[in-house]
Amino acid sequence: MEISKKVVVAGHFGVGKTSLIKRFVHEKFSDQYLTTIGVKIDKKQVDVNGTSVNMILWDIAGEQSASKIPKNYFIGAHGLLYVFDLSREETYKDLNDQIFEITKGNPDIHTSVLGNKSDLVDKVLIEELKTEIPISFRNTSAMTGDNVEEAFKTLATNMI
Amino acid sequence: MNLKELKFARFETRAQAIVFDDKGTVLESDNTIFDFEPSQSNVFEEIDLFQGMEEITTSLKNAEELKFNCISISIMGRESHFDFIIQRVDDEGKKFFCLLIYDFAEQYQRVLELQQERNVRDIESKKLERENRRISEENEVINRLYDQMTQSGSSEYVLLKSDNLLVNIDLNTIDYFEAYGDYIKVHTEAKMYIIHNRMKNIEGQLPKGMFVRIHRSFIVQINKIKNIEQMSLNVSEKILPIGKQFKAELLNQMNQL
Repeated sequence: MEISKKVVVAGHFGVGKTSLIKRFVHEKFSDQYLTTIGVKIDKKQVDVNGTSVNMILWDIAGEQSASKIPKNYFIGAHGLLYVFDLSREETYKDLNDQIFEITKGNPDIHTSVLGNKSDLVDKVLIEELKTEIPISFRNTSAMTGDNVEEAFKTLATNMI
Repeated sequence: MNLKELKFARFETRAQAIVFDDKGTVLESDNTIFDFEPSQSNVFEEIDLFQGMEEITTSLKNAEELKFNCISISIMGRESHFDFIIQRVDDEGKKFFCLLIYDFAEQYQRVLELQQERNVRDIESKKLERENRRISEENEVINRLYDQMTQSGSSEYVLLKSDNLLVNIDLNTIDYFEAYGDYIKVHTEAKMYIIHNRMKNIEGQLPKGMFVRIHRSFIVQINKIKNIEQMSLNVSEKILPIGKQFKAELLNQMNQL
């Protein structure tokens, strides 16, 4: 069986959303920061227990606040990957509010939170953040590829 | 050419209209940008924008529309920034959908450049703020420790700030202090430290009888002096000058040993 699921990837600018998608879809990484405007659509098929899930990834331009993202980008979305940068506090200090802002119009959306750039911070800080941040998150590194595949596949599993 | 024609000529090459049914099959297309073959092409399959959104699209009510601006997508191998408008247009009781595609790549390129500049500036300034905060917090801790240690009157160690680090140096290991502009070189048995301080301040912190000022630029540990000549002395194989005004105090200290 083959199904398509739209996944929106959101978060503050410069947190590595595009890099995570590039790592997941093309298995590549570049440390050069290139901003995204509007939305960039990419896709990758993953197998979840015999079901072929075509993940349509909507890489949304990062904003300081989720309230600035056009609402129609979320129309029909099945999944949300909210990404923050473990090395920049301003990208996770109001995580709850940012995610609520997105999900309030999409109550059925499956949400995963990723703390990216784990290669830039030490493990002690990650453990501290896991107790400080009220939402559970998975730490990833688009640079090393650590946890990236697992993060997308877990969301795919949750969506079907 | 009138204004209307001029406007249309500029715009025509950037806009495409496609009519499709509720299965995504193309019924009509003006093929201005992309070649869609009526009855053969399917927008649900050929345009990724629709994937995962087929149901939302086909459940639009008559005259209702969906707008998506600034979508970077690859269609038939051509990647660009497009605007899309999807509208349901019923005709004679039949359900049709109209897709309008606008290619605004040039305009969005300029937006991209401005956005890139803004984001990089913001990230860099926040980074700078964080670094300044960190340095100021570190300095605060160092200064507090420094004050505590220097006020405690410890005679065996001296606490010095070197390269933003607080270094606790065993006094017995210090050969001599040397003025170095606004800094002081602290020569010890193992290495040399450069600290931001003044000779007068350092002199005040050192225990009396252990160190002596021999020159405007030098304070030496008395025990490390190997020999004294007329206007110089030898400390750890280094010949240091003796200032005229400091000679009497040096000899006085030596006599007391």
